[in-house]
Amino acid sequence: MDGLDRGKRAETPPGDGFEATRNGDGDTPAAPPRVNPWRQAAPMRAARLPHRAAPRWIGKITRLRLPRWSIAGLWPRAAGALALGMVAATTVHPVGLHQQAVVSTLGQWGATQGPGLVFSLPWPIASVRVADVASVRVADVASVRALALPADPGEHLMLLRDGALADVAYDLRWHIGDLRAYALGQADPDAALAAVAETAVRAAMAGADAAALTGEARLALARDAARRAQAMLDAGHAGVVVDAVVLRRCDPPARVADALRAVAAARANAAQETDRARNWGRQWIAHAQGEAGAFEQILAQYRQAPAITRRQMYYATIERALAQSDKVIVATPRATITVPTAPLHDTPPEAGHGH
Amino acid sequence: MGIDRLIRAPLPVILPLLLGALALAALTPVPGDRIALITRLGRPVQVVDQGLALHWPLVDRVLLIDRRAITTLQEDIAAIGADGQGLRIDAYATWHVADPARFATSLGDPERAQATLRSALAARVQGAGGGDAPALARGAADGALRAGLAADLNRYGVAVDAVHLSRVVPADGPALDAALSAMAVRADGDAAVIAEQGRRDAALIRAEAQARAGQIYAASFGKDPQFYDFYRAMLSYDAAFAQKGSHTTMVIAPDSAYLHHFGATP
Repeated sequence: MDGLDRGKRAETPPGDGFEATRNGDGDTPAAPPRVNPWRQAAPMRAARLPHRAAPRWIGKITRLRLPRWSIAGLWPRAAGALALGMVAATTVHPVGLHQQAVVSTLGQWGATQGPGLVFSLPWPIASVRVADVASVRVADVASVRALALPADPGEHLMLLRDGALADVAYDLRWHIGDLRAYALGQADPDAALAAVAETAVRAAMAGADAAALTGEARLALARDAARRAQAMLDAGHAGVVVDAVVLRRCDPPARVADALRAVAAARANAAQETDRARNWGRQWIAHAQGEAGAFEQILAQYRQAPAITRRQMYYATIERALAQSDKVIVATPRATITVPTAPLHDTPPEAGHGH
Repeated sequence: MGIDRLIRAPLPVILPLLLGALALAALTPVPGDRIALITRLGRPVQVVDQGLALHWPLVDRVLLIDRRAITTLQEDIAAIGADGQGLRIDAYATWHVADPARFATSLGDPERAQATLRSALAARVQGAGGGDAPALARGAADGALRAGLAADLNRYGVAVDAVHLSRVVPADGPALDAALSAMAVRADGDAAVIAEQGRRDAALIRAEAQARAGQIYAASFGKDPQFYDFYRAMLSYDAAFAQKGSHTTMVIAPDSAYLHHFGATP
């Protein structure tokens, strides 16, 4: 400023011989001739120019001027661009399909926001937390949030209703239901979830008998455990959704496995035994039906011709019997009694029941 | 040249900077998951729930206390079950800071709080005494435990949200042995009963079949008992004497019915 003023005042600076002579010749000491130098011929302009452009402040400025592409010349622009970039990067946040976001403005947390673009004030006034909330089973196995218990491979005994014990291992599948509640609800969500899962599964087991550890009943148990876990989490506003509890293992303790195997074996044996009895019975009845059927066939024939049928059967049978035997005929009637062939008109020997 | 200018800068430049520094020193943002407790020379003076905590620089300190629910787990608490056998119980409490000033002055750091919480929880679970173990596992005592623990911890500025027993099992050693041997005895008994039931069912099935066969015989043979007697005798002779390879010596009286025509004159 003052440099410019000084320059204006010192229109005719001393120490320049050419100027001094011009001054000495000139009519008015301070005022230059009112001639447009650009209209003059080239030599005239060259002669007059130094007089016009000579002020010291201009020389000073030109000497002060820094190179065009130096760091110092660039830094305001760079800082500006950086600030702009930062503002842009910290105000717009893309939130993916399986994500939720919570905006925290000066420490105050807003509501959970769904997929899409989420806007906030720039950092450090606001910060945004984005998290994957869905458990996508098929597309991305890594994003499944599953809690597998027990962590160690050993026995994990749980109490049943009748005081018996079972060795249980399970997975609890879950996802974040509400990111805000999840972030603000629990200081250590993993520990809380593990405790809840363990309580829920054990409570479900404590309501079941050993017989309920297989098949359909086992599925019902797992559902009961999931329901209990969800209820506990909801009571604590944990922002967690339980997808399922899967009972991976549900066995008797190793130390009573033998005794329980014996029960299973007894059950199998009993089933086999009744099966065998049933087969035997069917066979027995079929035999009876056969015998009765044969008798009825012959009876029908007998009713048509009783005497002939009877005599024919008698001779045929005795013939077959004697054909296979050594025969001794004793003339004396009282000599022996070993005669199986009874007279037709006598009372026959007792009929057998065999088959 | 920047520093040079800053040093020689007059009040209009210095003042905003100074004010900014002062604001930074006097304002502390409170994150959503914290409560700010402002202490002046060690004494709690104000609690700021959210937003910006305004306080004197240097004189005041701001403690940011976790306001989220904290889970404290105490494992392997020894208790006695209803049947007199030892139980091992894991219990956990979910709690949060309800009164930051009281919490900060009595428990202060989280580590000490956890230790205190754990011992209080263990004492309550032990004090609750025995009970039917499966009922305990199903949460029968949780309500009473929560109320008791809440009363214990009220003076620390702690509110108890829930108490659950996450594991109730017979204690290792005699109690576990007893439970397992009871299981084994029950299993042995079951096995014996099941085997006997199998035999019973088989006998019943056989008897039923025999009865049915008897019905069939009776219905058929009863149509002509006389002829049946004859018919069955014939079958029996056939089976007894007429099989191939039978070595029977028959001594026949000449007056038997079979030889009736033997000596007859034609």
